[in-house]
Amino acid sequence: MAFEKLLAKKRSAILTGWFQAVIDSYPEETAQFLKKEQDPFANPVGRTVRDGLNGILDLLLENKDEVEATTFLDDIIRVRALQDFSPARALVFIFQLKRVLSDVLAEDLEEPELSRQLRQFAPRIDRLALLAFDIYTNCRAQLYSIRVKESEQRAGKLLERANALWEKRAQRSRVPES
Amino acid sequence: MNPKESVVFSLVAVVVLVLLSWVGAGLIGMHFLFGVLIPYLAFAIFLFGMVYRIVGWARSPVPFRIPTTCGQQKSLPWVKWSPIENPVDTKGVLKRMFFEVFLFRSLFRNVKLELREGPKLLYGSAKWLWLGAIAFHYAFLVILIRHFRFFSEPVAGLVRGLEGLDGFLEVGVPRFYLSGAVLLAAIAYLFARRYLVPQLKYISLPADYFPLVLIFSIGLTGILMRYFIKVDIIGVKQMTLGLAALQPTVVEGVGSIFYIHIFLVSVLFAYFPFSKLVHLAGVFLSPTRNLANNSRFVRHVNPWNYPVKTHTYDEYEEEFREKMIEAGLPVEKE
Amino acid sequence: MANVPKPDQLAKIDHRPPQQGWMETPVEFKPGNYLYACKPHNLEILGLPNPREWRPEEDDWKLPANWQEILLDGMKERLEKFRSFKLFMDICVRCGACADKCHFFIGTGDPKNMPVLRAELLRSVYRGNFTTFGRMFKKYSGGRELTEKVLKEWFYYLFQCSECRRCSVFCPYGIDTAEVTIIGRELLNLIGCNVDWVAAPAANCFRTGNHLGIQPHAFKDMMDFFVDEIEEVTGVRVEPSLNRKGAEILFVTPSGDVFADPGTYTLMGYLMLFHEIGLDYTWSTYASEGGNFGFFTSHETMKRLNAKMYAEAKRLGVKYIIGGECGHMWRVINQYMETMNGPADFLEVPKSPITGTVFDNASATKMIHIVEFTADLIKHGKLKLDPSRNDKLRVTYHDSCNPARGMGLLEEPRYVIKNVCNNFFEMPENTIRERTFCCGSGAGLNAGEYLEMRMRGGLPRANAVKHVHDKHGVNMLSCICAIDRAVLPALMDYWVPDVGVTGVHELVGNALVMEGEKQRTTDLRSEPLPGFEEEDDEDL
Repeated sequence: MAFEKLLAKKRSAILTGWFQAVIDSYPEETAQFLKKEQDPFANPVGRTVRDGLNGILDLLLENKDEVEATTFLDDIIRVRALQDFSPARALVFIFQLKRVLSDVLAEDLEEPELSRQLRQFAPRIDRLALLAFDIYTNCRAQLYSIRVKESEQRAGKLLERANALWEKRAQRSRVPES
Repeated sequence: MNPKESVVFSLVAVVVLVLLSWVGAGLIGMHFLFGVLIPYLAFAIFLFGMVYRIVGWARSPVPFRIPTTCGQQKSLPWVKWSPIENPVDTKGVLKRMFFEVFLFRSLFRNVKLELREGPKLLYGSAKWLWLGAIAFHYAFLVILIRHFRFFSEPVAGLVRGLEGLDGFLEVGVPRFYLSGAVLLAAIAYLFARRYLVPQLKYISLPADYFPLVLIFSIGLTGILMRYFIKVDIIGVKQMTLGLAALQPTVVEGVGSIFYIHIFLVSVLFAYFPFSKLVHLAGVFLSPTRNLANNSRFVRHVNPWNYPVKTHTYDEYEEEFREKMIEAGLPVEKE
Repeated sequence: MANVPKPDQLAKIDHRPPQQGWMETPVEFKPGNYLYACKPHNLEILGLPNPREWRPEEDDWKLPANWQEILLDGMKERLEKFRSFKLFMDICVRCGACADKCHFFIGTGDPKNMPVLRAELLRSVYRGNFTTFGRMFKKYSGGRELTEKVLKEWFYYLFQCSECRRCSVFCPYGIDTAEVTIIGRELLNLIGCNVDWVAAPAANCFRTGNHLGIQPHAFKDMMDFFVDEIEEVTGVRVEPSLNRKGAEILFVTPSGDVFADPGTYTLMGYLMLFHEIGLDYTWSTYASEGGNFGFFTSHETMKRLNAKMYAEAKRLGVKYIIGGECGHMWRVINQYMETMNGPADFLEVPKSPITGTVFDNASATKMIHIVEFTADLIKHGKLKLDPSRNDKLRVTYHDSCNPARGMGLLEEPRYVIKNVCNNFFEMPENTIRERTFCCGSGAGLNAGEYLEMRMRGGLPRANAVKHVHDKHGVNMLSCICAIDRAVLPALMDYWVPDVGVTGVHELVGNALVMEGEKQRTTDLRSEPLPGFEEEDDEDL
């Protein structure tokens, strides 16, 4: 299909534009760092975002099912769900792919056939977004459950042990009586 | 202040200084003021200021031994220890400080790891800052030492030797000194880095741009004077020798550019002790670098250590005695 | 509906700072991004100033009328008492080498978390009030007034620093943000602006001897509980003593390990090791805390809490002290204890009764690290170890910040781990040893309400763990810090769910072959040991 070929040709420009759109959601000082620092351990956020977007693009280009993008989406969203973003701002990056596509492909889209194919392509991005909602909610839910677990660990354990101790003590004191 | 304002402020300040000396010495002819009084005053401020700052720091004690350890401690004899990164005595500290002061060891530490294609880990480096800093500081030092030729007669062998090295390219008349070009290039890099990297731009103050602009202007006027706008070099040396010998003279007709240059240098000297530039002296006193990590086996005394209110064992037992006895724990008072 | 923003607007809303300098950008307190304020009774127990009910997100912090004067006087006093502070206020050139080294900057993306800027928060006030240029030129020299806005900024960002010292490693002048944070927090305490997660443990420790407020009889109960647990797993009944006079050694470890998993297993490891080598030692309920949340309050509070160790060693008449696995505890012991509460001339230079090794490196403090002690035992072949019992684990090691950068305890734990485990893998070079990344929760930030901030701060560490997890199948993260043990499990749960957390002495406890032990079928966590499962059939 001509459209997929076009995407493959412009792949690197699309990735650059999309990555830029994501890191633009950070303060300028940070964005530059996220973009420039290549070391995956010194810059886990930038690296995760780049690798994730890269993976998602691959899937889209290879015409695979969006569900396979789950791990990549999860990597990115796991970070953004935690950072200081509202849910909408955390996930807007998926929709931004549409704008990036129309920007990068602006010239080619003058051809009506390609423009039509882009419109056909768009629902795939929407499906990614739906997946993203699930993942985001999942991450938040996980945070809440970790919080609960942690407080249980802190207070609950103490209680549990105290109870166990009292039971043992009670048993011990019963034994000689019987 | 936003970054743009900071940069404009610094540029304007230096332009004002240049104009001031050009008008003062060049047009109105206040040669004695700009050629003698101000340099003396600036040098006095520098000396007094540096002593004041160093004494000021030295008067604050070092209550605790807080080196940042960057290597294995000295512990069991069979454990390999890092004597420089984790020194335990003066010798080790001196070595650590040598690497720190002369080679900028900590900046050099910026090794980074890149995960490019495939699973292989590649160690790259982020040494641009280190390189820029080393280039700037050594170029500055060479230029400073070269300038001793203006303050002594005969010129010391060291100075001559250094001049030879500095001009080893043997091009141009007068001979082209590498240090000047390196200095300007390094400053340009440091300035660009500060203004173009958003993180740095965010943290930078006028006090960060101003010294760069000032030193750049000093270098530039020096280079102009040496290669382009020729001055009466014999006259200049007469004047500088006079300054050094405390018998100041004013030689007429040495050219305004000389006065601009020496005025900017004076400003730098006077500004030095009261700005971030004092790191020159401060680096030697930094407690995280110049202390040995030996407080587990050598007593370190805090001069202002004072007694504090603690919760004594007796107070503790008083509160919990009954519970302790019941639990079968030993107590002092039954 | 008209108000729904378009995607591109949404991405940009508010997040980029306006084109003004950082000094003009105020902080905003929102749930999850700040720690709860200290409760008045905790400050009262410690006798600290301005106890009152207050909340950071409210406008009125109920400060004393002359709070500015108090802070500025306090600053002046500390400039005269600490060369570090004075120097660090003066010599920073803002080169930016530290900027991207902070785990909180990397994880939050907030530019004010660059170490240089964290220090500038105080430096700007210093310049505005204590330097000639600053007073003359105010904002042109980067100085500013101490306003309530500035104070709130201090509070916000000084409690977003875990005092890990990573930035200090990269600074060409060794400027240590931890030192600035320590003194900044000390200043905040002058007007009662501490957080409860620091004040409460400090108050507890002062009164009951440990951060958790465990009273002596309860402490004894917990010990009995562990004795039972160990017997269940090994068949050996260990007999620890408490507050026993005349013991050779006093053992002090963080109280967090007494009741929170997985620290408890580490504690069981200590008990088993000491029993096995027949060490003549005692625990203390009065000095039942190795950690020191006073360190996160002020130098004085640190000293008041730390004093108990020597006082108790003296009362019990022991020869020396062994300290358990804890992070900041060891910075305090290595760099502060002897100076603050020494000389410890009533103690003897530590000498291992088993190997005869004299620990000259602790000849002044008279206190050695359990890992040093154990490494020496292993080196001399005094322990019977079966590392295959840890074979289901693929272990990596997290250098805790303080033992790494405030002491240099790097090789000993690795030596111990390699002797008790067969599968050990290092994380990438720039995330371990002196360049280790903090867990994100040190220095009193490990509170529940701060979970999200901690997760952000811990991201760089978790990311490195994820790397070895993916590459080598690592499933266990070992460490020698009680705060690590308390917070890393949550961090792992979120970022690398298949990785557990353990102390080094839990690994030792599992590998240790004890005299008279039964065939072990489970590890200390009561999880089955592969290859040693109970064979029910034979029992029938």
